[in-house]
Amino acid sequence: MKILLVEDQILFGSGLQQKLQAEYGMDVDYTPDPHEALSRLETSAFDVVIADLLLITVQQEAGARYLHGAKQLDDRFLQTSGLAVLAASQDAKRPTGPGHTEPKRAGRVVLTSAEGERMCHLAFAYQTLKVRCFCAKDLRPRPGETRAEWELVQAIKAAADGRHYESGSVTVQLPEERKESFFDALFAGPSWGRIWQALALGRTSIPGIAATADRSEGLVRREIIQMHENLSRVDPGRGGSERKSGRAGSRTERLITVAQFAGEFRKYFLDKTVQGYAERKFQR
Amino acid sequence: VTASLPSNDMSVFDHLALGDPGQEQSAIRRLVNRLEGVALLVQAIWIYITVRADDLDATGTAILLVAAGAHLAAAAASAWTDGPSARGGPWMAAWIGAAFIVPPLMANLIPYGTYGNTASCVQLCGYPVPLIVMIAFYPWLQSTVILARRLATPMIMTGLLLMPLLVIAATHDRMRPENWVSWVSTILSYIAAFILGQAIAIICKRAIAGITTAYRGAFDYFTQIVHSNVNAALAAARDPLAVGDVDGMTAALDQLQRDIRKKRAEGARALRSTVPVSDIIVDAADLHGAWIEHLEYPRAGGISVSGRVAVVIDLTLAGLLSNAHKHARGTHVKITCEHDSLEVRIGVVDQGRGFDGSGLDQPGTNLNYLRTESRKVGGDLRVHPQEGETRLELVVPFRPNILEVEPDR
Repeated sequence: MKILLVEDQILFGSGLQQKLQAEYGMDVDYTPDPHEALSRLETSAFDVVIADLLLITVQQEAGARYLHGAKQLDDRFLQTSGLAVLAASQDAKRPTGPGHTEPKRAGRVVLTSAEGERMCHLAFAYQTLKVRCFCAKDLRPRPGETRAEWELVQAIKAAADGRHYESGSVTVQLPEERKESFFDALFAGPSWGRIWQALALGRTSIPGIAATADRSEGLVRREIIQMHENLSRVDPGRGGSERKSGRAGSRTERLITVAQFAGEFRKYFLDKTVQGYAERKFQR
Repeated sequence: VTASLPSNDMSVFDHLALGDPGQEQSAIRRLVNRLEGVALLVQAIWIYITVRADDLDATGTAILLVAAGAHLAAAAASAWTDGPSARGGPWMAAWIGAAFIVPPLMANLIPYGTYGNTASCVQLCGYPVPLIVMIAFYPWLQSTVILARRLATPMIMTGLLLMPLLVIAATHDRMRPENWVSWVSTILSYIAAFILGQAIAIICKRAIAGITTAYRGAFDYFTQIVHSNVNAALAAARDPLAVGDVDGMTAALDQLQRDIRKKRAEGARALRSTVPVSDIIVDAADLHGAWIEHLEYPRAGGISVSGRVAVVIDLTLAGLLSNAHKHARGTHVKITCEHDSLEVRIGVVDQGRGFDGSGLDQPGTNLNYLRTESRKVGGDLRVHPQEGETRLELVVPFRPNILEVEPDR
């Protein structure tokens, strides 16, 4: 079985590569760089693609330094994460020949530490990219638990067979099954991508957001109200006023709620894949 | 210290925490914005007191009532829309203009004695405006360039002392004893307000110092944890008697990971006004469900609750998971989580012997305590006995008091 593994922590990634090769006889192609993974996906076919979500790359560090003091949106802000690899491998074909069976599309596994800050990335992978195999990085067995097989291997086999797999600690971070996806709710307007970016960059006043997103103040003011409404719909805990139960709160309170959300999930709103999907959504 | 701050002020600190250049001024402007409505209301009340206290004729009364009504309307407007301070830019001129225009305007409209005896009006009608404006701008000036910070206090004090005198002198042919009395009483009221303002500033500074100390303490503790656990892992790696003690290193690093995760969660909770439900479940399962052989997690990503409700969920999950261990001897426990637009329902299903739900109504039991706590935020704890399993379910609103608490359920 041919595997592509993308994991930015080299010690962990190369350890996985050796273990999967030595103990399970898999052919593992490992890279810590998502850009390198994207070019390998263009040139080679894989049975399963395993990707970590948040990847620290040279480009990401340079972008983080550039954030300070910048007033206009720029491609340098946008980061390439594991979502880019998962998106690129969505329709990737498998190797052909002996030993390779149906389905014909490559399986995908998200390998994640499943902490709260990855919630939006996980929701995007599940709801938008339709990934169905999620494996926790914390591969310790629970006390008293005997596993017949290493958890990651179970996830790889499930992905290869087109089955679902979820580690318990990742399940808890995934959204409930629902009709409306987080992505659709959070990017419901053509300008929302730019407004979220401006908010994620720390702009929290209407003039500041408008200047950074290159949109009029009136438009930003109107869109923020709608963004707050959609955010309250997918996460009712964030809606409402702090002081007045059941009420939406003042315009300032709504702006602060939306800004806090953008700050918490800054990496999601500055993700190249997410913003690319948002842009294409309104080009169609 | 953070917990004792009013929730609406947390947003100001959240702004400060975002670290945008100029964010501090913006945050202070928003804080000042909250005071604008109060200042306008106070001004309206003062003018109304003047109307009642002074022996004015009909014209004087009409002028002042119009002025009081205008201030009242502006105060009402500020309750639902941003004022000049929050809007910034050219809007700031509204306040500055008011500071310089209103006193002479009022003094000319109500010259001493023209429309009757206006003793109260001298202090109350127009002259407090610069005081209010300057007090409102004081923190803003303090956060700007160093020169403005140094000049702010003497400039404000000089302005406060001289402006009423100049206005009175300019609008009266000859200073009379009543004018001097009103000037002195005006200055005294300014000084009292200034002392009050300084006292408020000291309280704010102390609160901020308390927060800073708390964060510094948390940071020190955090670095200590990292330091001691990394040392333990290194010691295990270098142990001459057990070269490459992988188990020892793993245990030390596991502990480090747990500690860091816990501190990160605590830090995030201190800064945010809401807590992700998934984080609460993971933390409770780590701390109280580690012994359970098969612990099934729910999907809970993307929903969050207020800090007060988070504490109730935390307490309840800890209690129910411990309960499943002590009384039910459950080896297969399932946590469930569902929500709608008003409430979140978190259940613990024990597929072993089952919970004893009778404790819910017995004062003094842990289950009864948990039910009482859940009801304090407008929720409830219920038991659902089913065949082969028992389900205890906590129902809580996303924020306290959204749901009405029924007297006895």
